[in-house]
Amino acid sequence: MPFLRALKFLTLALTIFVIHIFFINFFPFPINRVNIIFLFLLWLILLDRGVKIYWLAFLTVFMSEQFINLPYGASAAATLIAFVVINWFLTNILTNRNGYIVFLSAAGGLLLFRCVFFFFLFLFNLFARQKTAIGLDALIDFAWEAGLTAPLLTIIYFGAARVIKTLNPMYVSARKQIYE
Amino acid sequence: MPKQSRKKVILLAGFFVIYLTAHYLGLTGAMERAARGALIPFAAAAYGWSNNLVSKYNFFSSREKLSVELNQCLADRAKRESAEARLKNLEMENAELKKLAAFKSKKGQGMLATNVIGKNTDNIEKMVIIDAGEKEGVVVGQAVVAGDGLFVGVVARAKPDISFVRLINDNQSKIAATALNKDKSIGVVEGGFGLSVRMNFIPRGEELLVGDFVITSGLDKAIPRGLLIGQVAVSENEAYQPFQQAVLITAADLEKLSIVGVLKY
Repeated sequence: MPFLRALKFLTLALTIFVIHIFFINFFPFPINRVNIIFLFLLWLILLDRGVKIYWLAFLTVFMSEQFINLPYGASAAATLIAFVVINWFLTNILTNRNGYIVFLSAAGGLLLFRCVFFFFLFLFNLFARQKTAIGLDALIDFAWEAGLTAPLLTIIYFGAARVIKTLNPMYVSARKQIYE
Repeated sequence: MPKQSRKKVILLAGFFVIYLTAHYLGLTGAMERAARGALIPFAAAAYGWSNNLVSKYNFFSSREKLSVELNQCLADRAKRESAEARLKNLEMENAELKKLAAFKSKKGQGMLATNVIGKNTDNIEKMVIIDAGEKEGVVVGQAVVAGDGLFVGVVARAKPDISFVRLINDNQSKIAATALNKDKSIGVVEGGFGLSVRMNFIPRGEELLVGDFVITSGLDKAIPRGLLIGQVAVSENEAYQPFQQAVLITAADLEKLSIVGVLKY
């Protein structure tokens, strides 16, 4: 049902958005630099590489954009571009799912996201009235972001995979057959 | 990428470009306001929960630290009581002087009380979001205070329903300030990396002591004089630098803002 699917997407996007706000307020520096939106969406891409994740990403970044004092759409466009590229890499080149690949896709994805984001900010600074200063501290911020988000995603991915695998009925019955 | 997926990605990209174009043409304003209106309760709730939780877990790492902090608090209280007594005396004197000089008090200056509903969701700038915007008369540049006139920042952007307040610890924040030392040193209070606040461009020959209060100087157009910014924590006067600088402890806790006032001018 399209309506139920839309409702599910909306709830999921809202949950990610609320967790992101909670996280950046609750934790001290540098833990609050973890990009929760990126982390969750990338995790979902790693689990299910469907195009529908893009729509979820769009919905989430749309919510986030309402509370950002930056040129409208810069963050959203950078996120979407980064996800399309990562998804392509994960589908065609980095097809294995080991720790290195998960870490690499998170770190590479964030790097790409911030490069595209800086590019858009640069364009806005050139042509638009609203100027955003990009200094060394912003780069340090982003280093913290990538340095913390990528390992956390790797841990979450393998932690969750272990739980999902253990509770999967097919996996349980297969193990049962081995022991019998 | 399979052909069907490629089509869907192109569809999404097209939709996104159309949406952005509509946004910059001003066609999506009503929809975005409605979306913000729906999201504000969630954002405010998440911000409130995190603030409540943070205030509950201010642990001390050791017993010695607790003891040191307690002694510090007791000493501070004694100092404050003495200062309050002096302040009362000064207030009486001041009232008399004002009468004599027919001084026009600026107490009539309007203030709009607003709720803080969250922080900027991207960490690039240190800002809080308040639930008042252009409709309530908020304009860019207005000073924002917490508690009893503790300066926290300046309105950086006003939307119809919400506004963004640039905190004094933001890198782009620059506020003209005066230290309440014997030289009445003037300088510029700047934020650093969201973690510290510094007062720069203080003439080297002037004496700035730890504990000196720093207030707004009134040189900024929209920021009245006398709003407390903080206290000097460290004073750095290096021989090879043309100016001295000081690290400040902000008077307001910028991490736990819940209600703030926008000063109207």
